Amino acid sequence: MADLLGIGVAGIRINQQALAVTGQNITNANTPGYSRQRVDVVAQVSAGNASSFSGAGARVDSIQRIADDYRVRQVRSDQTNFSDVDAFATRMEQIEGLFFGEGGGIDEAITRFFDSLHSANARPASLPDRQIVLNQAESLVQRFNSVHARIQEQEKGVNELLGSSLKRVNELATGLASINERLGGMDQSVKGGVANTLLDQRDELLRELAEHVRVNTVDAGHGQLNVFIGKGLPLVLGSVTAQLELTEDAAILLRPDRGAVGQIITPSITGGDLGGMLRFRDSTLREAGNALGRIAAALAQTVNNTHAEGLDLRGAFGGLFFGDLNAAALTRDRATPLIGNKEAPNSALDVFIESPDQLTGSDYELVFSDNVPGAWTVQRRDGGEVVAQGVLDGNDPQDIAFEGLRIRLTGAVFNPGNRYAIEPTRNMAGALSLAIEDPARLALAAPIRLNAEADNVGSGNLSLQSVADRTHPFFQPGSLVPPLKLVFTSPTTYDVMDNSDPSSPRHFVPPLRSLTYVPGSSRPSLPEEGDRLVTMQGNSVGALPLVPSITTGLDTDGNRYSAGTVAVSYRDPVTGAPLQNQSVGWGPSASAREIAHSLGALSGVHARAVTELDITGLTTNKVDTAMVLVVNGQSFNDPTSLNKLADDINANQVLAKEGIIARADGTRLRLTDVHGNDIVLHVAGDPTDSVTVLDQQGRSQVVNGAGSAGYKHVSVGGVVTTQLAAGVTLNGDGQGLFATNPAHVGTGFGFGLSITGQPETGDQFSVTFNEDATSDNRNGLVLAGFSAEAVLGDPPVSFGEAYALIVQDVGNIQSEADVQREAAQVLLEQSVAARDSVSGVNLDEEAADLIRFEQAYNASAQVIAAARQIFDTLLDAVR
Amino acid sequence: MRISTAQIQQSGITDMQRLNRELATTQEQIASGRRIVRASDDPVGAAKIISLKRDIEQRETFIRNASAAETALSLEESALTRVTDIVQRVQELALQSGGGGLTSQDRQFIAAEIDERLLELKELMNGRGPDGQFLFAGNKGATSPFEVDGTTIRYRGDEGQRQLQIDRALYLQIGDPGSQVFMDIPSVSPSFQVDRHQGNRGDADIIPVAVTDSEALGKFLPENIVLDFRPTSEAGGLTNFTVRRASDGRVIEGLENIAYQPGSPIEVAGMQFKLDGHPAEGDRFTVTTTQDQSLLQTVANLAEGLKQIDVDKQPDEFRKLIEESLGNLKHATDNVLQVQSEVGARLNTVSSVQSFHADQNLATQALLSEVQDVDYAEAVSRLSFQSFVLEAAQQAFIRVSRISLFNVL
Repeated sequence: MADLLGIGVAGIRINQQALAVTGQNITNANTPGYSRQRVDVVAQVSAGNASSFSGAGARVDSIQRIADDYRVRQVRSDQTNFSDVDAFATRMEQIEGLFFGEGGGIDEAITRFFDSLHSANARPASLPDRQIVLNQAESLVQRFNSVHARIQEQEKGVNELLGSSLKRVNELATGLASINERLGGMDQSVKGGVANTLLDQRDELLRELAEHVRVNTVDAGHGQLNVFIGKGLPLVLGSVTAQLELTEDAAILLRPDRGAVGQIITPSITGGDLGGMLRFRDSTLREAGNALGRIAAALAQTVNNTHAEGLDLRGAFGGLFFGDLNAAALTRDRATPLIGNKEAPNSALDVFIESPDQLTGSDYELVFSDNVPGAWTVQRRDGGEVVAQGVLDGNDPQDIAFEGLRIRLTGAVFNPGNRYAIEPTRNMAGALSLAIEDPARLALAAPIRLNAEADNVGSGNLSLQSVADRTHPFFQPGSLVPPLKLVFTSPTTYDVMDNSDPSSPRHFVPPLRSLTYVPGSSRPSLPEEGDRLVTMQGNSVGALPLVPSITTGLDTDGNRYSAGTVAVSYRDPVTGAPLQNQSVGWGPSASAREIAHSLGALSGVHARAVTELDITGLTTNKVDTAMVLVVNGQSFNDPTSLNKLADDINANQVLAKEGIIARADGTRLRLTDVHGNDIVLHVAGDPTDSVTVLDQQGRSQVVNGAGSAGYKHVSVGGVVTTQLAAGVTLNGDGQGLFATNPAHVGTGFGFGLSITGQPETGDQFSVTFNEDATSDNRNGLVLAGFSAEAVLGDPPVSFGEAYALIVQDVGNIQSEADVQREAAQVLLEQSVAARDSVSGVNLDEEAADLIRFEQAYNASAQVIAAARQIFDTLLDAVR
Repeated sequence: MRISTAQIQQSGITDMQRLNRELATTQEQIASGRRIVRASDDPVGAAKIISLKRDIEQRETFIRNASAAETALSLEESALTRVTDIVQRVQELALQSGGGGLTSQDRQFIAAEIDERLLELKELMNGRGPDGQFLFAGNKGATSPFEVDGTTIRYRGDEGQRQLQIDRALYLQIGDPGSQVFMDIPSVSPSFQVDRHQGNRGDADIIPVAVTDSEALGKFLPENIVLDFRPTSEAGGLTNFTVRRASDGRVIEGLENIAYQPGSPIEVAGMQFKLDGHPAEGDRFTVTTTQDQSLLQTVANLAEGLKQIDVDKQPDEFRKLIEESLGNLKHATDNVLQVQSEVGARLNTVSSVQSFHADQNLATQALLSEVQDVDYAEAVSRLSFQSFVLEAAQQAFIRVSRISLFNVL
């Protein structure tokens, strides 16, 4: 009977507790992280006789927390993935609109800028049209600057969010540590109650932590969990927490304990919004900024380079159009020493943009080897591909060139193991500025004026190809020094002459003679930049024999040139590395034409020969016989004057065919063989008949008649001028023709011309400075042409297309992020559902439980009532 | 599977959020008229939009350039038309003066009218475009190209031919330098022109007088003449000069170290000219012979001849003057007409290129609209379907969340 009462009381107690737990479940139906609980009841067995009734009611064994640890972990993992892609996609949405959208696009600003140049080309002298170019350029600059500013704001915004995320991670870590502490101090046999709530809290803290970063837990015993984040970084070990901080340059620092020395762990942070934002900041945002900077830099330099080649409205060379992207502050800013470098004093890195068309938009790292002194490599930052490597040669400064860039290392010491981040284009969109202020300074005209002489017969036409070097001494303010004249000596050869005095153009020293023009070819018509000229100039060149020998016929003893050899050495024009050498030789008395032919067979060598001989005096007294002068076998009887002799020589068909030209001004007759064959002069007549001959060494020799003995003669050799390509050096044998280490005279005029059409012999073109050319738009046409010209990258694309590619990339990344976000969200929802299906509270279920436990409670009460009745009955019986 | 109450609520809310988002996208497309609102909606399409827009913009630039070219060319054409009109009038006057029954007084009147026409021609040739630049000065647009000083005609422009880009690879010439239109005109007989050297310090000038022997001059061609004042190497006073051939510096016979007399005529190779003013040491002049004669020169010579030549005393010279003038005027007309026809051809190019660009742009616009614009019929029906689904989801949510066992407790 007492048993029955006890059993009834136990039932009351149990059901009371069950109702309380149900109430707790109902109350926490919407509490995040709450796991529903259940009262575990076990039947009680009395210690009585085994054969008799042994029930002793029941007792609450434990209050169980219904949770599936696997599902909880799954939620955590899916949460971390979702937060990652969600943070990334949300950030992306902020920049997507910057590149594509109404009125925001840089593409339109680029188009309008070039458009304004086209308009200015239609009216090159119009200041309002020029002003519009400047205005459009200004707004283009502003577009680049403001998009860059927005990108920087984004970076700043991300850094702020990172900071607050880290703060929250630290709070969560502290919370987890304190739960560890409490769980650790708790008797493990206690089941349910406080522990249940702590475990729920812990799971919820871990879930929230997973929103920020990937979480791993390891059971540390005593109910405690050690928490690791990212790629295995310890956050909570027992009751000790690490601290995360954002450094000044926005890297993430982990201190194992408060006040301990920290370490940079940015690359180890994965998952969660921290992982997503870092991914956004350090790759996507950076790449977009770099790509934009690449366009800005290439545009600015391409326009600047061409603009500098033109003339402005006042006739001065174009100044900077956009601000110089290789200004000192900018070149220094492109290289950053990485943490841990041992910087030597006075060492500095400058990064110059050399070839805008080759820019890639990559970031690089310059690494000095730990082992080999001075050995360096340049690696692409993402992927680590080595783009250049070498060893410092001790020069100061020295340059490293790759992918359109040149790194200048100043200060000899770069310590082993030093690393530098090279970010060539990162800030270029922001650094873009407009340098030109005065619309009259817009350089639309070309610097060169080319005029065909009015009496030209042929249809040849000259045009300016490019200005390679406007600092060439040839270009002086307002003039060319000297102005040039191109004179066609045949339809396919021409001389370039100094036209300082238009009434008598002069040859250069050494001369630029008989350059070849191949109709239809676009070969530059002036010696190329970097070419050098070497002239044959030993003592015996063009020399006359001292005493003319007497011959009975028109024999000749040759030009008496010695046999010779010439060695030509080659160096790679870019690297300067020596290449193999070649040499040629010739026998004695070889004509200049033959020598030129041998030399011309060498690669990188053009050789031209010409023979000249001056006659300065003529005495014909007709004492006995009239004088006969024989030029290369052609006789001229009784020449009365140098002028008449010249006219006769020019009228001679045979000599004309040989390329012999005579020019006389009354006191001097110059015979020229344009092919460089020897010129042989025979004189017959009285000893008092004579000509005075001047050789090319400036020595004169009187050749007089030998009477009936025959002829006296002189035979004169020509001069060879070699034109050497860049990197080619010529060395003679010093045997009278080519000196050892002869002077190499630089040539080229800093600009290139091209010839088209069919010029005729005698046609002339003058090349002068393009003064007062207010209507000239040739340079403007080149500038405006960049709107469609494919100039950037490989394969090359235009500026506009390069920009469209950025839009496409950004759009692709965004749409991929959207897809990933959606997928991650579905996975998260599923895993939350899976967890909730076990741990979540179902109110209908709890309502049913309420009814169930209430009924059981009532029944237990009835048991007590029955016990009481039994007891009363018993008492009544006794009474 | 067991389902928690929170789960029922959450899944309903999630679904409605998704539907709301889709609805908002559709609504944005309809409101903006754009299929691609963000680049991520269709990254390739977005890049294509930029390319197509650039293509259209560029063609519009070309169209604008073409109309600028049209303006310039029309201006040139009308100037040339007026020039030919005037030349025609001068031809009539030349014929008229050559006819019989005219007194010398009449010829003076004709000469006076020709002078007027000369001025008019000069004004036309020195005409300016709307930007104030001289039309026929080549690239030297701020320099008045034609200078008439008595019978000396000088061209101050250059040979620049301005171009405009009117298609990707098509640069159209939008002007002709005056040298080509009015100077380089083949002449019936050779002529010459004189130039002071740039470095001259004195104010002396050479004044061409006449071609006295065109046969001799024809033989002398294409040789030119250089006249030097007292070269430092030679003795003689300040006023001595020497005449040489330009090509080889040969002294012209009889013209070495000649004493300078202001205004006295010099004859070389059939050319007659005279020197005037004060020469300085080392001054130099060039006399260029040519088979060409400028239009202004022809007209000026005619007027000058009519004034100077006495028909009765010099009938041959007069006849030659009229004949040569008529011949040269015809050459000038031919030359101007040829330039005019070139201008006309360029104008044709302009209009065909313009309509080509316009056609292309229509096609490109259609393509752009296909990529960029929303299909309204499709979008609107999508909108109504999406809003229908959303409403259904909302109602389902309300209904499901209303059901609870507690309601019947």
